[in-house]
Parts: sequence; C-alpha cells; structure tokens
Amino acid sequence: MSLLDVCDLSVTFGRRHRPALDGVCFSLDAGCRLGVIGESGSGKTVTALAVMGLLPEYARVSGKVELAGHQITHLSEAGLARLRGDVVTMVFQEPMTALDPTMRVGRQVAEVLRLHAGTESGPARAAVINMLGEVGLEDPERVADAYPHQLSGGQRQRVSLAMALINAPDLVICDEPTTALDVTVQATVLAKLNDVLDASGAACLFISHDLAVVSQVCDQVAVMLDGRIVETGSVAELFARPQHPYTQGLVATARLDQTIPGQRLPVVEDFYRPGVSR
Amino acid sequence: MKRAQLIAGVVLVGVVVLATVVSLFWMPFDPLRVVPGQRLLPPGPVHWLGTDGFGIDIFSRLLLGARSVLLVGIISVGLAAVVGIPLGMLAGQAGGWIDDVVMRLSDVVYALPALLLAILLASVFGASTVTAMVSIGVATIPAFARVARAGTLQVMAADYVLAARASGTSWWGVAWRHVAPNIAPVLGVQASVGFAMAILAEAALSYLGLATPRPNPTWGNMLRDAQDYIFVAPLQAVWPGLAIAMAVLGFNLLGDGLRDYLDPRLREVP
Repeated sequence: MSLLDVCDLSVTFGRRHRPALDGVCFSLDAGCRLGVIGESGSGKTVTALAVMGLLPEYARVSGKVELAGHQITHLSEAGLARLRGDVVTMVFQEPMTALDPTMRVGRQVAEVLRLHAGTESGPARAAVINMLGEVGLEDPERVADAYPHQLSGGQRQRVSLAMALINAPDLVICDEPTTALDVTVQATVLAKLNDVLDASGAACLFISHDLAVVSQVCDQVAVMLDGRIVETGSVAELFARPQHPYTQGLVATARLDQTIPGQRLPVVEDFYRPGVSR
Repeated sequence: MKRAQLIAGVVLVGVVVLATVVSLFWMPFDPLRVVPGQRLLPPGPVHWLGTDGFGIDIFSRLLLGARSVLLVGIISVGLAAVVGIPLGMLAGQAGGWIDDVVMRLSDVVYALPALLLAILLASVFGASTVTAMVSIGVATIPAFARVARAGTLQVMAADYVLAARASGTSWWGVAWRHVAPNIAPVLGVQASVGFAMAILAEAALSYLGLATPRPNPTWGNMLRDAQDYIFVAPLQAVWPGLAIAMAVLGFNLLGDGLRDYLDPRLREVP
C-alpha cells in the first residue's frame, strides 16, 4: 500500500464552482519523491494543501486523499492536527513570512517536538540545535536564539526545513521551497534537502515551476495544467520523450542550450496553446 | 526620537503613579477638611498651589485625586480589555456567523453613548467611582474588540499560522502562541490610549457630577469647583487642568513608545 494515495481529487472555490483541481490522481510510496510541476494557478499548491487538510473551509472537496491509511477528507480538525507535523509536514515558499516574528527560531522548531513527542524543553533544545546543524546552519546555538528577522532568507528556509524534518515525518511537502532564494543559495538548500531526505528516508512531494530544480530532487515528475495532471513519468523519461504538448514546451524552454545560435528562443506557446488542444 | 517619546511618557505617567503612592503615606494638609479662614490663598511656601474656595490645600487634593485617576483608568481599561480582547480574537479567528454576531453586538455597544450609560447608571445606583468605571469600561469594550479582531485577521492570513497548523498546532495553540503575541503590541498601544481616554472621560464625568461624589476630590470635580472662582482665582483651575493634560499626554506618549519597544523587529540586536 502506498503512503499517499490521491484519487479523483477535485476542489472548487467560489460561487461559480470554478475548479482549482479537476480529477487529480497520483500515489506516492514510502521513501519516494514526486515532483509536481506546473505554472502559477495550475493547482500545485491546492494539491499540497488538500493533502495537508489545510484547504480553507469554503473550498468544496470531492474525491479521495488517503495518507498513511487515514482519509484526510473525512478527518476532524483534531485528527488532522495529530497527523500534521507527525506524519506529514510542509516547507513553504516564502521564508520571510513562514516563521513567527515574535518567537525565537529555536522555540519554533522545538514546538513540533513539544506538540507530538511531548519532549521537555531541555532535550528538545539539544535536538533542535542538532537538527539546525544538520540542515547546514553554521553556529546553530546562535541561530536558535535569534528572531526570524535577524536571519537571512537562506537561513530562514533552512530553519523551515529543520522544522519540517525534526519530528521524522513520513512525508515532507515542499511548496516551491527555493523559489524565493537566489540561485546559489537555492543550490545549497537543495543539496541539503537531498541529504536530509536521504538520511531520514522520508517521502517528498516537491512542488515547483522549475523543471531543473525538480530534477535535482526527484526521480518522478507529474506535470500539472489547469488543475489536472497531464503527464507523469520519470525525470529522464520526461526529458527524453515528453508526450503532452505542454510538457514538450516546458522541456524545450528548459533546454535553451540546445537552441541553435541565432534562432528565436522557444516558448511554451510554440508547443501548446491554451484552449486549443482541449 | 522614539526613545525620547517613551521616556517622556514614562516620566509623566511616573509622576501620576508617584503622586498616588505619596498620597497613601503623606499629604501636606487634610484634603477633606474645610478651613473657612484660609479661602482662596495664592500659591506660597505653606500652601504650594494655594487653597480652594473651602480653604483646602489644592496640592493635597491633587495628590488624592491622582488615586482615582489611576483606579478608574486601570479598572475601566482592564474591564474593556478582559471582555473585548477575547471577543475580538474569537471573532477574528472563528470567522463566519460568530464574527458577525460578536461584531454586531459590539456595534450596538459602540452606538450607545457612554454619557447616556453613565447617566443611567448614576441615576439607578447613585453616582460613584464604580458607576464611572463601569460606564467608561463598557464604552471602551468595542474599541478593544475591534483592534483585537483586526490584528487577529491579519495574523491569521500570515504564512506562519499556516506553517504552525501544518506542524499540528491546534486552534487554541494558534490563538495563544501565535495570535496573542503578535497582536500584543497593538493591544498595548490601545490600552495606553484607552487609559488616556479613560482619564479624560473620568474628568468629564466627575465634572458633571456623575462620578466620585464630593467631598472626595477628583481632578474633574476640582475643575468644576474652580469654575465658580474663575475670575477671582484663575490659577485654581489651572492646576487640575494641567494635571489632566499631563496624565493624558503621558499615557499617549507611553502607548506610542511601547509599540516600538514591544516589537521585536524594531528592537536592537543584543
């Protein structure tokens, strides 16, 4: 049985029931990593929030989300709270706003342990400092005592990473964790993410709009477009033989080095025009 | 500059607090005993601020009046905060019909003039310090509820609340560990400004005879008494007026300074 099983998941918002997700199906085995790729508004984040059970109350959800044997869509808020942080955790896109400005960073990371493992603050602090070091923060003692505004974006994102990983979850959802970082910091954070995921053996749902980033972390990719998954496959397969025209466009624009000099650079619209192929 | 504001606020408020503490142990003259032979004396070495129309030392009355200023401020702001803040947080965090019900109720209270409430309470129970505190407190509840709700809405929309929920923090945990500390600075400011408003309101009510009854002095009823001699001894009206202005200014400055002090983003790195 797979760790995460999403079947025919549809989510609509608003009075006109405009679908944000439209019959999404995928599954993820324990320890595996799946990249979800797509443009803004394609439903990537909604998928992640649906798996966490964090969709706003006014969202209408149908279909099945099964995580570690629990039906997410049928769980109470208290039942969800037990799963979140313990079985599944999440790393958010914006490191500047994902940490509480009034709380010291170390306490914020320790909060997860306190909530789920019931760890006392003494041993929790040791675990926190250990984890902060593991995600590649220098001087973890000082970082643990700092407020978020005293850290850089890269440091904060590592703290978010530590927060997501400290309680050894089965699944980590990364929602564009490196989008707000510059390219060099992005590379080091991704490398660290790879390391800690390898070390913990956690599964990962990695959401990004950047095919190159996804290929660094994941072996399987799902391409989302307008609330549907239009193509899935291994990263190598996808790069070599993209099937859907939209994927062909994505791959072509990601491989600009293969463009003949002097020629016009490819754009996604060369391969896929919204509303034409549907 | 901000620091100077905070210091000025602390000093002015400190003077009021000091006056209250001093009045508990020492007052130059009995602030309640009428001395017919010493009416309307000008300021001098014996009566520092002079005497009023009953021959009572004004400085002593000011000291005693400071007590009711602090008492009314603390109780009425405390009442408004204890009722208003949880209601506002509840409305902001729960949303939906709870939000509607709480905020419409708060609108109803807000629409009720505080003066009318004070008159009502004074006519039913007789004017006293308690009726003044209750009417000022009740009238201030909506202000606290609104500020708390606005702050809560802002915090609830923040990513760190989503992140906290994603780590399994419960509804109460979010309220206590994330919403409360983040809205504390604005509530501190609101409390301080509310305190200033309460001082003014208390002065107005006691001027009208709807608060602490005579012979107990408040700055408001001292102002009222001074009015009768305004052309004979104008200084007599200046002292309580100055005291009120100083206290109100002090609490306003303190509120402003406090906001910056409580915000960790504006605090200096240790």
